[in-house]
Amino acid sequence: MRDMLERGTMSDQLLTISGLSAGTEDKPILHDISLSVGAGETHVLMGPNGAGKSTLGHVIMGDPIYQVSSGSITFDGADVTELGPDKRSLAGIFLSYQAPVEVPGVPLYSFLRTICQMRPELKTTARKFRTRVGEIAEQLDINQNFLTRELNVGFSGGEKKKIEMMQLLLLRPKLAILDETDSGLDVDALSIVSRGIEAYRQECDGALLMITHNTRILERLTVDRTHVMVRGNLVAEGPASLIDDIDAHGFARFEEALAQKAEA
Amino acid sequence: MYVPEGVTLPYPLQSYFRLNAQGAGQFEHTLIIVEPGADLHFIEGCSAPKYYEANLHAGAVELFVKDHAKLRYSTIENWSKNMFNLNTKRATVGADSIMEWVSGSFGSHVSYLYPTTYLQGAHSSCEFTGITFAGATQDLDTGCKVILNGADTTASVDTKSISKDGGINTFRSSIIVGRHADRARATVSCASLMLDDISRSDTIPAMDVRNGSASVGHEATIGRISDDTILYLMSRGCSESEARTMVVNGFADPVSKELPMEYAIEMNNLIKLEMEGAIG
Ligand SMILES: Nc1ncnc2c1ncn2[C@@H]1O[C@H](COP(=O)(O)OP(=O)(O)OP(=O)(O)O)[C@@H](O)[C@H]1O
Ligand SMILES: [Mg+2]
Repeated sequence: MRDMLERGTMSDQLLTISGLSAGTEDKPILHDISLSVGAGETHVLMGPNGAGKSTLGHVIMGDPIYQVSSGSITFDGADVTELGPDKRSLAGIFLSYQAPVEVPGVPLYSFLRTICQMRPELKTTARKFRTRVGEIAEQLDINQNFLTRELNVGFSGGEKKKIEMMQLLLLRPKLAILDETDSGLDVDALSIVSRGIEAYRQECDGALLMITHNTRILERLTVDRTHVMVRGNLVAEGPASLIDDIDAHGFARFEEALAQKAEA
Repeated sequence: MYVPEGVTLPYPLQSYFRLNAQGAGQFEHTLIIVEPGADLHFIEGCSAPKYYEANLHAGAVELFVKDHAKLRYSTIENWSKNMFNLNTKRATVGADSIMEWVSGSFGSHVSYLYPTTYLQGAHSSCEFTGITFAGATQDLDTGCKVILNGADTTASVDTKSISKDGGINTFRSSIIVGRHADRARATVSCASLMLDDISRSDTIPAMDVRNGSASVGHEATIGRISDDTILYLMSRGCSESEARTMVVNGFADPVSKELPMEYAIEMNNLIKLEMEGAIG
């Protein structure tokens, strides 16, 4: 009975990370991380440079460069800790990279077509797909010429971020981790991208884990929870108002609290 | 094959070599004459079923491109993996003419293949675009040789090689600029992609420049598929092998772009099969 109840509460959460420690072969980076994101919720992850935010995003995505030494990641009712990034992607996890890679010789459009056709729920005719891509390109103010260019090759930093958003809107994941998708965007691009994020929230009822240093991108969104990471530890969790607090006072008090905890 | 003066063939002309007898040798000879002002695209496809005994293919290709003419000679070769493929290909090019080679080598146990172009007339050019894929048990020794004798002639050589499962790729280029070839220009670039640590790829450039106003450049790069790229593609749903195939096809894209659609698709399929290790 108790078991069932627990499972009941678990399934309310889309993503549950419990007691997760991870790092590279010779360097522990994340320490005992626990965090849950409910379906359709918007969470923000903040922290100083080098705190481990991107690493957490990569570990959730299943980047094999990081090893999980303890703890687990549950997504949509299934333990995904041991799954590869492809399986996690097909299960509905999406990561928008802080620095998207360039893939020479692979045209953007055919790449988009390939990654959609491999998902039964997104499979569609060539014509419908073309229309959909056209709509999204317009929505994100992406030049149609980009579609025939090689994936991310020679794209500017901001353009790459828009291409990430384009994939997000096409793939309709259940959870999108946006790793500094706002950084490097000009004012206009920023408002276009935040409208894109809003569209994702509404059209797909998607959950968001936003990694950012900038509160501008959050203005249009209703933030449910804020998490603060310092030196690989989650040191605080709170409501949206925590963001303003950090904006005004920085991370100093969290750093101190962590140092004191370490001493004790 | 004879293309009379001023004739342009609207479609590529296709030939196909197949070796269907065990332990046999094939000694074919191709002669093409493209008369002044004529234009031809010739495609040569090669394949053979695998026999228990080794086979030999020793072809000779003679190409004559007269003045103001153009010839594009494309080859997609997928011999069985116990074929000895020893080919001799030569082109002589007149003035104001264009010779283009497109070459994809996927099969054979051992290949020696160095298409050679003599740019005799002024203002003529040679363009060579090639790709080789060497998998297990394959030793592909290929290259390209251009002799620039005419003034203002240009040569551009662009090759790619992919090495996997212990395959060996050797690329030899030879650029010879003659005494009278004023302002001749040549560039050679060779990019190698290594898919593991047991394969091998060597680039051996040679240059012999006898005219002070000529310029010759050479560039070689060697690379691997980065973990970041595989992660990126996998996190969009591709399996690891799909991701690797996608990257290799992307690497080969500049070559497949030069081929007619059906051959480009065929080449992508060959790459996919090689990546899966399905052809024996
Ligand atoms: N693959 C790796 N190899 C070695 N060190 C790594 C690796 N990945 C992350 N690190 C280290 O782990 C720490 C956390 O890095 P991470 O990129 O997660 O920080 P971040 O919080 O995203 O920082 P930023 O705000 O600057 O993007 C850093 O000290 C970083 O150098
Ligand atoms: Mg980061």
